Formats: sequence, C-alpha cells, structure tokens
Amino acid sequence: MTDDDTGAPAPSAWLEQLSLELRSSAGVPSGDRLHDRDRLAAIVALGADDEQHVQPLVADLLEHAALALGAEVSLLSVVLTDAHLVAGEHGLGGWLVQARAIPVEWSLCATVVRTGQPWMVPDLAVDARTRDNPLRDLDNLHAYAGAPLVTDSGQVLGALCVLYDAPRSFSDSEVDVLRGLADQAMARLQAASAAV
Amino acid sequence: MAAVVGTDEALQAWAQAGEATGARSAALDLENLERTAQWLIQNATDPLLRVVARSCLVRLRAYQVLSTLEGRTP
Repeated sequence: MTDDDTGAPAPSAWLEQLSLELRSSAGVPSGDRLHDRDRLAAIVALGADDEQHVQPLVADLLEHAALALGAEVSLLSVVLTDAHLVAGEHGLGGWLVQARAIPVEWSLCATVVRTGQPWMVPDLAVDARTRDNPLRDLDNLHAYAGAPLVTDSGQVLGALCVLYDAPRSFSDSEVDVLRGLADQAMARLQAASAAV
Repeated sequence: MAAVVGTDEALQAWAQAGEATGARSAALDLENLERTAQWLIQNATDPLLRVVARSCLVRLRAYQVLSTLEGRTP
C-alpha cells in the first residue's frame, strides 16, 4: 500500500499508524498537571506563550530579580506540555538565546508547576532530582530558585526563576522577594490581557 | 496532544493537518512534524490544540539548536 510514484506509505497507512500511536499514548492516564486543560487555556488567554508579548512586560522585574538575588540569569518560564518556554529573560546566554526553550523533562520550573510551590535547589549536583540533569553540563547550572506564576483562578503557568553557576543557599527573605516578583509578573500579564 | 484534547480529536486534527501539508510519511520525521504543527497553529479552531502544537514546535526548536551542540539532544 504505497503511493504510485514515491513508494511512500499511502495516507491510509500513515493515519492507521498515527491512530495506533495516539490511542496508545492516550491509554495511559496522564494526571500530569502540565496537561491540565484549564491551565493550558489560561496560558492561551493571557498570551503567555508569546515571547514577544511577555518579554517587554516583565523585563524590569527580571532585572530586579537578578540584582536582588545576585543571579547571573533570571527567567520567566511558561511550562507547556512538552517544552519549557523562556517567555522572558535577563542575562541569558549560550544555546538558550537561540532556543528560548528547554525540553520539559529537563525543566526545573516544571516541578514548580506540578507542586505549585517555590523550589530552591542550592546545589544541583547534590539533589537526587537534579543530579543527572543535562543542564548542569550544558549551561554550567549549579543552583536554582523558582517561584510559581499563579493566576487569579489558581492556575500555575510556570515560574519566575534565578539561575547560578555556583552552589549557593537561599534565605527565606530571598524566597519572599522571588515570590513577590512572580506575583507582580502575573499581575502584569493579567492586566495586559484585560486591557485588550 | 491526545492527553490534552482526547484521542479522537487529536487524530482528526492530525489527519487534517497531514492531508493539508502532504506530510504522509509513516515515520513522522522532523520536517513533517514541523509542517504539521505549523498547520495546526494556523488552522486549528480549538485553542488547546494550538497551544499543544506550539509546545511541539518550541520543543522542536530546542531540539534543533541542541543538535548543533556536539549531538546533545533530549
């Protein structure tokens, strides 16, 4: 069952295989917060998956986050189903400048979305959840702190996070600063959406 | 995509996108995947389908950049 000229599988064969793959993947109950329809709808409604929209809204907050927490890099990360989108950044370098995205299985911000709580990793090499993360080598990432981006309706879209190239601990007041900036970023995104 | 919008809707959307873009290879390679996802973003009426397709494209962008770094891919 092939196309006459190319020898490629006919559309019906392609669809049959795709059907099998989709049904197979759907057979496993996800339960993953990343796939929550209401969460994804909120991302769409706020235009949070559009870097061009988000970056100017939060650039000063991200600079403030980096300065206040002594970080090289700060990000506003929106976690989609398969990828962590760098919707806003300050001080970003390397391959991420081009990609502005991280595979979701490497994303520390995905953990923030799943728990809905701030997450501090003083040393990625020590924490069992991050020890084998490829970003340690790729980006020389050694410490991380992220606070959830929560909408008024309680959906967690991503995280405002800071990244370090050396291990460091985080004080409660630093976490409070990060959480406050995440709340400000969400307020701006929601206000921009309401103004349209 | 099926986990978000359901199997039947996902299948129907991909079938439409596949037919519209001519991405008919049984092995959905990167080029076909990109074309299909682009089509979905532009044509899908369900915003959830569009955001899942966008997620797929964003991941693909990361994959393509990582591929240039000594073969490091997810």
